[in-house]
Amino acid sequence: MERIITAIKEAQSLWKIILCIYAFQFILASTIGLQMMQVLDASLGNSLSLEKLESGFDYTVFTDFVNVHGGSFSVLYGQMRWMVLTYLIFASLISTGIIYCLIHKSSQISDFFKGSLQMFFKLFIVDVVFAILILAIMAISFALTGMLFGIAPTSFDTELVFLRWTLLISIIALLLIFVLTLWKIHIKFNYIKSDQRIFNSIGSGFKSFWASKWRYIAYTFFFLIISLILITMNYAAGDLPLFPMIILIQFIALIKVFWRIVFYKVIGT
Amino acid sequence: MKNYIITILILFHVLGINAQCDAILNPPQSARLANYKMSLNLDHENKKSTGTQVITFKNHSPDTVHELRMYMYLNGFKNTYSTWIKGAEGNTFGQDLTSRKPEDWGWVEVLSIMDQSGNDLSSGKKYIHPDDDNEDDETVLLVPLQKPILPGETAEFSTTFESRLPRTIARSGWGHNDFFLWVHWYPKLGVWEQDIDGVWGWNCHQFMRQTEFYGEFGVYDVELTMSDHLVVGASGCLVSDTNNGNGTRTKVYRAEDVIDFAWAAYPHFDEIKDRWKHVEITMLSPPEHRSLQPRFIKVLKHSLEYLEKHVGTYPYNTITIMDPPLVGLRNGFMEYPTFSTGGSFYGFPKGIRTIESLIVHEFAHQYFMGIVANNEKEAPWLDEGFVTYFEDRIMEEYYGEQKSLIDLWGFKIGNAELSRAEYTSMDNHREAIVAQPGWKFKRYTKELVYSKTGTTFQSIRKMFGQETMDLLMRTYFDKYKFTHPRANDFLSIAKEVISERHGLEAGNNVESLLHQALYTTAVCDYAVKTVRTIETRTKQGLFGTRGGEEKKSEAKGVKSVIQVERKGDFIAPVEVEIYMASGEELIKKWDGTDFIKEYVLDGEVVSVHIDPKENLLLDIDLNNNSYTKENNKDPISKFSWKTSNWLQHIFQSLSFLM
Ligand SMILES: [Zn+2]
Repeated sequence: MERIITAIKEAQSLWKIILCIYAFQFILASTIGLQMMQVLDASLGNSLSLEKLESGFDYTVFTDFVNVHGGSFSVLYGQMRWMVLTYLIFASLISTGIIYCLIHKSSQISDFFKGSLQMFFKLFIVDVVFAILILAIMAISFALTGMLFGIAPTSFDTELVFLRWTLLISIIALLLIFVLTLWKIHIKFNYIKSDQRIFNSIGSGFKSFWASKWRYIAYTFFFLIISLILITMNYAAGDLPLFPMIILIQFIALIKVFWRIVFYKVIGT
Repeated sequence: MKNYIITILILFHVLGINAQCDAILNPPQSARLANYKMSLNLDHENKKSTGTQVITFKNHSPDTVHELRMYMYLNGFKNTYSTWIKGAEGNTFGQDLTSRKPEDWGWVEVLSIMDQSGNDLSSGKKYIHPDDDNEDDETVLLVPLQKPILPGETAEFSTTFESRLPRTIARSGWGHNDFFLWVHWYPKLGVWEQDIDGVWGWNCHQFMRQTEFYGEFGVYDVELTMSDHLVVGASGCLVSDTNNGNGTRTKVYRAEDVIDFAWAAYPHFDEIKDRWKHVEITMLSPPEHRSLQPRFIKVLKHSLEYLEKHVGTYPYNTITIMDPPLVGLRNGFMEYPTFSTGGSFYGFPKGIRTIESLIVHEFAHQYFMGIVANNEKEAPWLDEGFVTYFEDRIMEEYYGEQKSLIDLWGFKIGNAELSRAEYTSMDNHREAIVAQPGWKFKRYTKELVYSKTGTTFQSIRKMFGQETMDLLMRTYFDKYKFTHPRANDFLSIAKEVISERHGLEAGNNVESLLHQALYTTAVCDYAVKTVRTIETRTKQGLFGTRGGEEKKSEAKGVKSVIQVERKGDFIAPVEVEIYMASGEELIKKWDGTDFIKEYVLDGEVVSVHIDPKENLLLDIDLNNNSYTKENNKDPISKFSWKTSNWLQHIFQSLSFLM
């Protein structure tokens, strides 16, 4: 716990970087949000159906909208896909920048950029490899679950057997993803901290993670649970009137950036 | 003393069982033209049964019957050449048919058939295929009679037969752990009736994938003998239950005034008994679904209550609900007389009420197809459409409008909304008409037969009110219960009832609405095209003799020009509601015929709304039915903010990949 409190304190000092990351994500997401607003305004802006949305979701308004204006939705969806893919490159820069600043105890934006750009290429390759591994684990577990679902009616006595298997697969997949994530963070820390070659960092990263694996995994669980609570709060905030909702959901988005830095700090040091 | 007590106990037991069979509606409700006395031995290990059958058939027509035609529907699962499977050999109902073992296929066979004079009719029997040229299909058996059945005469036929269930593909079959659902397990007569042209004959179609069943009313006395480890549920009421002492037990059921008899068996069923007024409820459910059982019973009682109040009393005194275990899931989601099957999974969330919706649907079939026994093959909309309407009504009555089906984490969907959306979201609304035989649908059966019809009925209810709708349904039910009505029977009652209560014009409107919805592919879409405000000026030009005095134009007030349009080819009269800036509210009646209708009004318009009560639910886009200048755009802002916010969260979650 003490470790988390220290990390929170240290993360606070990185507020400029936190704001910078938040602003970047916000601006990127807003380009879609603004377009969405235009699409909705053009198609529903003068319809009395809008009144039905004042109290929340309305299935009929929504389906009629999608049936008629679904085309403009798919354009936005297409944009979103590209944006997400592009963001992944930036995500690598950002995580490298954060770790660089944490190691050098610097809260300067210039250091954040310096660190992220300097170390980018080698760490980006590590990121891509690990991302592929994580996606592969997810794909395999989905495929396994799907296969079990297919054979369930003719092979299992009850759906409980299927559910237990699914739970087991999910836990194993989650643990493997945890391991890969933690290992990768350690690689980044080790690589930035020392002048090791990247291959050495991969080895030393694993060693330093493995030395206290269960503690790290416990931290990750804790981190995940807090994130889930934040997401739930974010979802619940949707029922608030417009202005308070905007304030709250954006605050939560900001906190989540902060929380991620806390996590890096806890894991990497 | 001990013997005395045992005798009393046995007596109570027997009385208890027999109480199920007390008829609540005397005399017999139907003409009881096709009656079956059957005795069956189940060999559960081989999924096979051997049976004897005495069929009593009454020729109620003025014509002579020279042959029998029988449904042999288990043969639809005999091989990949049956009409039911043909064309879908690779994969049917989500099942791979290429790797089936011989014991996975099912069949039914008449071993012998004799008339009451002792003539053996077996040698003449042959399979026919009146609907297609598929020589390999064995789902309709023709038996030529040596002694024709004269008009008004009753004939008796004795058969011996054998049937084996398939490993379930759909409808009927077995699953491992000794799960069985026996549907169309016996040779069953078609319906001797007049066709559209008034010619008497057998209505006995082959078993086709898109179609369900059609049978004649009668009494079923069925004796089932099977291993005593099986828990059994069946159509009708339990007359007796005897342990034979040799590891088997015999259960005798009687079902009166029904069109079919189905039964299920599984060793692990919980058997839950409950009661609603005169109806004994039996629920068969696997133990892993125990927490869901109260949901089934509750919604079943809601259905009984609603249908009694709005349609008519449930005439039978039993209903059995079978919630299949996973191994029998493919047998679920179907309806048989006094026996409905559901479908559920362990831990199904309370906020998702598809379990309830399904039970309501299947139970409503007791009324429409079970009691009002339309031909489910030739006019499936006559039961599925009605049932969808009642499913939506019952669900919304007891679980709330716009949230009856799903009410979870702020995400809400009502049953009627979903039915409408199933139709309006079709990518081609002109794919097919509703009122056609089931086998003609290539796709969109659900969207058209169920949802479009249900939504059409919902529209009629909204237009004329619940009372009128109830009267319409009740009149139809009362007139056609225990018979086989056709589309026109319902259509003329609809016109009659609406005309009587709301005038001839309303009757004609309903006739036109039903015709367009069911017999055409017309698409309904009314929209506000434009609303313009123009400044009006006072008199301009010269006035008086010889030029006179020039009057200057001066701005004086505004006029509004509203154009409403009919974008589709479906025509229905609608109201146009107009709010003026002065606070005045105008209702204009529009017959909905013209492509564009223009209204010019003095003053400024605040809003225009075509069909403001949203009666015409078949309108494929209700959002374009209205226009207003002054809208609170918070919902748009909210939705847009939420979209970008979720994108922020997606970015943040993805950050962990990198
Ligand atoms: Zn149905």
